[in-house]
Amino acid sequence: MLTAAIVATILLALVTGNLLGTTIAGLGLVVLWFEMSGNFSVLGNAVWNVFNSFTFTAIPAFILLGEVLGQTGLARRIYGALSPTFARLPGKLLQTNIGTCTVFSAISGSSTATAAVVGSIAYNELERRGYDRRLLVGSIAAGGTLGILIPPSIALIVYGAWQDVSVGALFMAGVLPGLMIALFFMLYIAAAAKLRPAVAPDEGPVEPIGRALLISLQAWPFIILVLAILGTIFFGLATPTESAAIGVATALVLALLYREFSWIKLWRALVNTVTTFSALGFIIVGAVILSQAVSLTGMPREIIALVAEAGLSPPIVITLIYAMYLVLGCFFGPVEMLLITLPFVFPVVTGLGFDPVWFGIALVIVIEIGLLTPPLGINLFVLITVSENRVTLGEAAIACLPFWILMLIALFLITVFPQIALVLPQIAMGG
Amino acid sequence: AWSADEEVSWKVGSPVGPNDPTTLNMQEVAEQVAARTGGKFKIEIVPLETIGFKNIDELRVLKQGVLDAVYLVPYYLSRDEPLLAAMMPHGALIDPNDNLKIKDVQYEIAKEILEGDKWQLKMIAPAPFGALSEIVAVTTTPVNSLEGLRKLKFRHFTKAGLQAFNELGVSTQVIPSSELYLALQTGVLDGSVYGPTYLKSQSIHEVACCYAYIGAFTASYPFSLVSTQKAWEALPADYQKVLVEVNTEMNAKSWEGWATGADEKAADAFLAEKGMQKLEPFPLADREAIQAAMFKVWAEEAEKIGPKAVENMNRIIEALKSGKSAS
Amino acid sequence: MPDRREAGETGGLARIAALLESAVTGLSWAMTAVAALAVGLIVAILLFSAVQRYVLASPFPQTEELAAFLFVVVAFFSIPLGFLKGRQIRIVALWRKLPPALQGWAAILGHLLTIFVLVMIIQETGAFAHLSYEFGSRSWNADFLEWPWQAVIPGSLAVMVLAVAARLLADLGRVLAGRPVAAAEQAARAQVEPE
Ligand code: NA
Ligand code: NA
Repeated sequence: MLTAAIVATILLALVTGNLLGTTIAGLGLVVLWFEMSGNFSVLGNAVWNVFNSFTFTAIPAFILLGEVLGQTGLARRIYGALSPTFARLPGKLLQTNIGTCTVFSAISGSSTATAAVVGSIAYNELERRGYDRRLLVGSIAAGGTLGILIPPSIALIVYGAWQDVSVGALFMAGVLPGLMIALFFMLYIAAAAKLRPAVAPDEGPVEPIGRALLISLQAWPFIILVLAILGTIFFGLATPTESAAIGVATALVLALLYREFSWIKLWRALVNTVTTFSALGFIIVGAVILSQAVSLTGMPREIIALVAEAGLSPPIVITLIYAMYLVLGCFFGPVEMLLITLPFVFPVVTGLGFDPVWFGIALVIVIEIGLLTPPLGINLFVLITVSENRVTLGEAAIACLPFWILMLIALFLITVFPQIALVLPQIAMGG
Repeated sequence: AWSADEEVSWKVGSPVGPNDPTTLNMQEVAEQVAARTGGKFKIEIVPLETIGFKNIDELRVLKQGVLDAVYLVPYYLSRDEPLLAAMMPHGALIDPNDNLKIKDVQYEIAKEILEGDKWQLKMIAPAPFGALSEIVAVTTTPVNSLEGLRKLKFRHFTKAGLQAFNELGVSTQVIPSSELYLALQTGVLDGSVYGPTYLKSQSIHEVACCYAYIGAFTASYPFSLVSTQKAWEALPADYQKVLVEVNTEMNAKSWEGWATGADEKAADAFLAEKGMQKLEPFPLADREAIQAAMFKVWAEEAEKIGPKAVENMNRIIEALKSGKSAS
Repeated sequence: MPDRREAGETGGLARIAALLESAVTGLSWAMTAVAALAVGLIVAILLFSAVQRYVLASPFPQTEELAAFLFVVVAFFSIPLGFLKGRQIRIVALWRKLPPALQGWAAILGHLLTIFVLVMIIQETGAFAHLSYEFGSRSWNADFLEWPWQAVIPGSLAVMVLAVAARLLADLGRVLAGRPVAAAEQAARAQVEPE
């Protein structure tokens, strides 16, 4: 009965060309109707709890940072300065997306914030320069997922504090896998550009390297910006959330220096920031309702119990658990997924003898893959929004597919060679 | 003979995580209740966070009929019932044993609030709790005096503590516990009040050097099992009796565990092994100053909430001063 | 945007739809402006909380709660205009393949479903805010009354209902007049014809 109702809801959504938010929320209502005898009252708490959270407040600040850079022309200057140097690389400025994502991952604890800030800095400028829209979307959406792997990371803090695992060890364990995945992404962009040179536009004649590097010095505002943000965190002047606001202030000061500041531009940046949320808010409401409904049914716990009691060998159990997260990742955000499943998964996994630090990293990677999986891939939505809907959900998902596969390969490597994650924490802990 | 061998199942919410000692205690209650009713009365313990709620939603979730009962942690509920939160603040007691003097009066007060017109709930019995006694000040340099704290950027996790320490001249702020680790590591904070067991679970030993006793946890908050009237009345009388018995016994056991401080001693040993230094406690004069400041904040807060809160506070302080430790 | 030339041709329904649409659009823009100010305020608050830790002796604990409340305003006040501008994601691949005669009715059914789902959410988030009003719930640190902030959610979604209703009426007018529908089509154009 429930299955029939779910299928009917999805069909109805497709036939009516309805809003994704309506559809996902509708699925949640259907689950509540059949599994919780129509008790919808839990929606109020769930929606409020998710939105009224301090961890989100950095996101508008990071998006505003990107918008200020865009409106004041700073983004154009920075990319213009970097372009001669990157022109000699396959993929040209597309390579900067992964680099910028890596840098912002080291600032922000959230993958959505990372995708949003890099998207709002890079998308419009690189599209204007004529880069392939799909590769642009794919590289930023995927690069953004590094946000919760490279420290600091909200997901790792939740995991560590909850399961008694050293947060410091987790942070260190995330570094190498994060850099490895970033490298994979850059190699893929290079390969794609070699195969289809049209993905990157003609950036003019290749300058001699010395001159190119000299020109790239004009990207100094970006260096200042990164120093202002990372530096204030590093020297304990600000929390990561506050550092987002320091970034905005720094960008405004830089705009003043370049005589590019005006109140109109600031107002436009503010309105554009709000517009970014206009497409996300209702979908997130839907996602909250659906995940609340599913977690009330106790289904994730039952699935895990089933896997645990089947007496399977450890590699098969871990594969099944990955598979479960890949499926859940279609519908859930990263932190909700952790909260709903971890209490049941963790004892099973550590009971089989897997290292808890290693599992934290593997889990974060498999959760990151969910950020790129439709229908509910938050990073896909961020990029669709940044592109002002010039990219469809389907196109964005296809654009991310190669990156999605690369992350699966990384997951496989880290599962077979846990040392990729564990070597740094072991060295640091004097092991 | 059980009442017509009736099968009853309850969903009972836990405000803390699945691995928290409190939740594990509750699981044990559920097992004992099942054992004593021949498996007929089944209790499922549901940590609220695993079904998408926060601990501050406890009372709402009962009102909304999602759960039959919850394990009450009063200080989480200041949003929806300020009277419940207006009890002895964490860290205000100078000696952990002072808790024994006020635990009965605080239970009475909670019962009056929850069974009153506003909530119309059933306060079933005192419940098992995670045994915590010592609050420590954890710092990145060795500090065990108020004077020393005044040179630091400090964090407190209660509202009363926040205000009291600021009034004592210690620059104190609220930072979410999820940001504590990073804040101590980078120097956004130089210290925080915390419990030794949390220092261990959040790996704070990696980013701080020392800790020192600064005041007592209020173990005497009325941690208890609270249900809707409807669920309680639908429960056969002999199941009611079992539920009260098991919880009361487990509550007594929690107090025994609290008295031995086994968990905290284990945490101390672990932290010592990790190279953390446990300093001498804060001087008595400092702890008295902290208590006075906290009582002042408590009184101001109670004043704001209303005469009932002031009356409750006076009852609690009276019990503390009259000094009889109830049992 | 409604096609104003139509108003004269199809009479009552279209005129009401156009009137409703322009009223809701005005309201949505006002909400967007408030949300934009809220973004600015969030940034100012975060800056202030970093600065005050060093400059002022006693930190100001209200900032964190206020920032979180303002985020709710940003997230929800932006929703109605996002709908009106066709920014919210739709899955239109199958709908586009329907025969034109069916497309109109399917779009109308879609509007009705959206309104139904929105009304459910409004009811429950409204009840949640109302409960807070009854309890006199206040935020932990700063003692802000919580219900006005919580009422932002059902309030914003109610404006979205009006926006959907305007589109519903307009589409109904078009279907009755035998014309292709605009709302979903517009979104479809945004999705399909970016070139
Ligand atoms: Na990060
Ligand atoms: Na997903």
